Amino acid sequence: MTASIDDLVAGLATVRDEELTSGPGARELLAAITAERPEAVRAPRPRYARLLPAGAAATALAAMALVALTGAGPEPVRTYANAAVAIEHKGEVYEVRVKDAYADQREFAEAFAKLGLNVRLSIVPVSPRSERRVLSFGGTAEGDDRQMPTGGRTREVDVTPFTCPPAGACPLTLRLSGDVHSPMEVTLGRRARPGEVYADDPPQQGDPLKRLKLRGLTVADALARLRGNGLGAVYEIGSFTPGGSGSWFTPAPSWRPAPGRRVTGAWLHSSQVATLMVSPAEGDPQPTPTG
Amino acid sequence: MDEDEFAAVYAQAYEPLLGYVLRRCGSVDDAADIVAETFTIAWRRAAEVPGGDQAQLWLFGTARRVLANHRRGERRHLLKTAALRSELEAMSGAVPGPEDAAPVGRVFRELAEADREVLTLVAWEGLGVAEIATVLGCSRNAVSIRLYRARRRFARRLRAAGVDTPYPAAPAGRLGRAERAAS
Repeated sequence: MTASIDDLVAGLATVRDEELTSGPGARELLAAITAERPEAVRAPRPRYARLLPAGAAATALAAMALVALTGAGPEPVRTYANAAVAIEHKGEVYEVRVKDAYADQREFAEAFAKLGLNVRLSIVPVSPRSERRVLSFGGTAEGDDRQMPTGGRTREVDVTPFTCPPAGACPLTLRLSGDVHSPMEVTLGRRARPGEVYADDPPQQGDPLKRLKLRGLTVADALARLRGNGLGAVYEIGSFTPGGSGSWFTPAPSWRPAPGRRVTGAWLHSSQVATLMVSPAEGDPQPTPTG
Repeated sequence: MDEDEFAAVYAQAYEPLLGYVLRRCGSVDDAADIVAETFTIAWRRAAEVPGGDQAQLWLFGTARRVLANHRRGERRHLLKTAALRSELEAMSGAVPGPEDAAPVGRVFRELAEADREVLTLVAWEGLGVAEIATVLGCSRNAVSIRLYRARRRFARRLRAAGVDTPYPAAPAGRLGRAERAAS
């Protein structure tokens, strides 16, 4: 058998894309969905919001941690609030209201720990296009190898909104469900300091480096053009298949491609350094998965 | 995002999303519900749905959560009806379906859900590492590691089942459509 692992998996698909069509049913569904205004189908505000302090007394009360356990509904409701975050647990879902995601992270850690939640809110340096945006959310790799809990519950995280207001506080709402004791992480971008490596460095439309038109140049020519713009370089080794898929990995920082090799992609690594991708060649280092 | 823009996203993403859900769903009825629920969420949160290729990834990520909720409900139902189903299967003399006889499919179904998820996002949806990271809401590095391990585990179990498959070590990352278009 010469099929690759991916080919074997592809052969297991019960439905192929070319078999799919959009008929009247699809059009009816669209019409039914858009018949209601977006705000009309929005879920009602959760009950815990009414439990939170409001008005003139809010400031003083919000500084106090509040843990409540009531039997008012069919299932107990647990809430926790401090100056930075308010959490309600009802049924299988924890709803976390973060007042400002850029606030003191210790307040979040304290609140999450109170209810046994394994959630980390990470603020990472990013390029200007990703500032104040949620970059990722979900279970972390360190939790991937945990034994699946009884009942097969997986971790689920949802975040609203994905983009913070352009300035000031960044309020976020997280909804956590499933195996909430497995590690989960929400990553939010902040403005990178000069030279700080971007956490969002994959090539994207609008990358300011595109104006330099580095793709297709030799490494030597690309380096010269980068130097002319006050930029250094790091490297990635990448390849593409005729079908359009591809791969890349990061070689050791000390590795340098031969000057005559072609640049297949380029994007900003930090405000002072660009990443140059070259196609793999014989003798190149090989990827070594870690973790 | 206004209604026209939403309709454009819907037109572009409907078939890929339908495929994504049908390939992971036990019945077409459930698939229809999940596709409808996913687009309803998207309409409800239209202001947050990104443009371009990212819209489809956003929808995949949302459908993934809707599917997970659906499966949790299914599991609870299955637990309640386990004894009854066992009795009915004994009465009907149920035998494994033809798909259970195929060793590749059987071994694949025995993989952990997390392994199957990354393998199918590559092989069925044709997504790259960065796109999968968007759908799963984790880092590219985490996806690369998960993909590497999943391919390795699948190959190892296939060999144990007597299926001869070469396993060239998977590269650490794949570029998806959006990245290739932009690079």
